[in-house]
Amino acid sequence: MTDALLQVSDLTITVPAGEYGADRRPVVSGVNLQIGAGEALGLVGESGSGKSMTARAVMRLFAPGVQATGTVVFDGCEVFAMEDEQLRLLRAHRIAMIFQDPRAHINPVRTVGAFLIEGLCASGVSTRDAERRVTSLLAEVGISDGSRRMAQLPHELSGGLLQRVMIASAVAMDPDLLLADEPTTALDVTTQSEVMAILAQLRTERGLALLFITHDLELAAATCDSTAVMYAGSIVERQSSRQLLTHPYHPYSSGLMVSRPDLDVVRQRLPVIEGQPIAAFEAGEGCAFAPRCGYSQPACLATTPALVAVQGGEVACHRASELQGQLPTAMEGGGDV
Amino acid sequence: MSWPRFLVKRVLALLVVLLVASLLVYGSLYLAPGGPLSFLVGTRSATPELIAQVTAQYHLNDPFLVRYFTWLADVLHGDLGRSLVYREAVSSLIASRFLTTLLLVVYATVLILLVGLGTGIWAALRRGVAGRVVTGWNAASLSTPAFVLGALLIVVFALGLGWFPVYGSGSGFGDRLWHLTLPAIALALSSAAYLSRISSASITSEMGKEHVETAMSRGLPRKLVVRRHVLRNASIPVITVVGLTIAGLVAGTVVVENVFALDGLGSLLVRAILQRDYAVVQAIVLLLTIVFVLVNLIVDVLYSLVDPRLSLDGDAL
Ligand SMILES: Nc1ncnc2c1ncn2[C@@H]1O[C@H](COP(=O)(O)OP(=O)(O)OP(=O)(O)O)[C@@H](O)[C@H]1O
Ligand code: SF4
Ligand SMILES: [Mg+2]
Repeated sequence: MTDALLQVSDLTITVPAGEYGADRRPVVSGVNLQIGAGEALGLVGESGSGKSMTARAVMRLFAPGVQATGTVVFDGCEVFAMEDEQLRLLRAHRIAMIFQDPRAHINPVRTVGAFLIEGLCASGVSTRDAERRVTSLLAEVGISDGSRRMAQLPHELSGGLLQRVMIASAVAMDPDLLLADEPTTALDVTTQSEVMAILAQLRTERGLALLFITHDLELAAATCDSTAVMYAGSIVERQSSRQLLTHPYHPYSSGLMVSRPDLDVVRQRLPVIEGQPIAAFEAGEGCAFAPRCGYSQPACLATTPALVAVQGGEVACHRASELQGQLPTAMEGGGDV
Repeated sequence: MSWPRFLVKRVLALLVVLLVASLLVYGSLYLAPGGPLSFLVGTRSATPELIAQVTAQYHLNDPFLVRYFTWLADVLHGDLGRSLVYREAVSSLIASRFLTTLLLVVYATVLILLVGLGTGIWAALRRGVAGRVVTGWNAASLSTPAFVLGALLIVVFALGLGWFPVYGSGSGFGDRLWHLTLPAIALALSSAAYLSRISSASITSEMGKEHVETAMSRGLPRKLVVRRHVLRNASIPVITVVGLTIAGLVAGTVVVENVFALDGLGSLLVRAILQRDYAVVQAIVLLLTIVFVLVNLIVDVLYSLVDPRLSLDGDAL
């Protein structure tokens, strides 16, 4: 499939480590992803698994010192090979990103309105037109008193409102792909579902493709067409969301579902599977999940399982075919789906 | 709160500060060991005439508050009293020297802003070799005291190369500036290095902020991101440092004026203190307080302009 809107192949990202950053350590290794136009892909995994890094790689948004290899092809263009100006236009018009913590991600000393119209104005729209467009966008994301809000400073708005502002600013330029990095994690439960509903609505109305990052496998599966599960910098399973919920192939995916707390319990960023998640550079030989896996066997420690095609998706587990159909899912595990 | 109300409120507060400061300046005379009379007469031979003159000039026989308000009323009418040493009105004694010192401070401020902000911004945005050169330069500048630097500048640029006069204040604006160049450099260098460090650190930390990442992710031109999101936000702590630095320069002039034999307020203050010329000391300290308070007012106004989160009510600070 080369006609996907976004095709990420063999993406490996390293960060500097050691004294003077002389060594490099991988935080993402060998990731393949694809998203078709208008499609939604969920990317799930615990803290440090490399989800944010992967999403930032799509628009080459790296902190100084971070290096990436592999290819990211967006609509036929190789993102890592782009000139700076071409990359800037890609970010301005085609791919937008929303972040987990809108309070930190919006300049605190400029007004909400200045933040919203900034992208439009930088690409030549007059201030007045930009304001008009943004006000109607605010109404679309459920902020009816848009002109009042636009005169306010970010600290005068609640987290939920700010995230709506962030979403409005992201879709203001009519992008083709939206990268949403845990857009609801910092919000309370009610606001979470409101924001998710807004995202879903905007997506269908505008035919937006979506990369949706979350810790919550079932939220991803409920929102997205397909879902990829990441562990220690690699994708360990990818399936259509519906099938993943009922027939997970990987013990980690199963574990993420079973351990999910009830909705009315306050959700916290705690390790929900026994043991601590690890980053890519901490993984040795063999399956990175083995120390925490209830199905681990000596063979699991010998070689690293590769991501192979299975019926309806891909999985990286030596015992996938044996375990198929036996792994607990959300239904049996006491979840709420 | 609106801007006019904010300014009125700040100016009123400023007046209160000045009133308190004047009371302290005036009252400090009475804290001197042995009382004001023996302090004022000091090592001079206490002839009956001198005692009579001092007692009359300072109204030493009146109650304290009466004396204070008499003095304050005089000051408000521009009468700063007479110098015991120079036998001249303090106001005329101060006027010409004030100009020298003011010019020196303004000159040094301009140098500090140009060099400090310039190198700070350059080092933060370029990093690499530029950053290291600036860091080294700053470290050297910060560890050189003004009087050492002043002497060095005189030896090299005045005595050696002969580019600048060795001492004196000159006459006429251009000539004055020329005379004040070396003193201004001596006064400015370490402050410029400090400002360079602070602004560079502030910019570097702002560059790593999440909201800057957002701006970059939206495909805004880098120059716009730097100007609008990095430099503006980074200027908030820098403004404080600039304010404090300028206020501190006023004290720094004392040293530099002595090294370069400039006849300014700083050297006059030192001499007046040594000679117990109290009317002069009072006037200069009062003047410095006014400058200090004004600089603070300007800093506060700049603050509210750059960071609208600090409401004009001033309760956020
Ligand atoms: N600028 C950086 N320099 C060095 N290491 C980094 C940098 N950014 C992230 N990392 C490391 O890379 C790994 C992956 O980080 P990433 O932010 O992609 O994880 P994540 O899956 O998004 O986690 P979370 O759910 O906590 O957001 C982590 O171990 C993190 O410590
Ligand atoms: S390869 Fe082995 S250790 Fe790894 S997930 Fe599969 S069963 Fe568990
Ligand atoms: Mg993340």
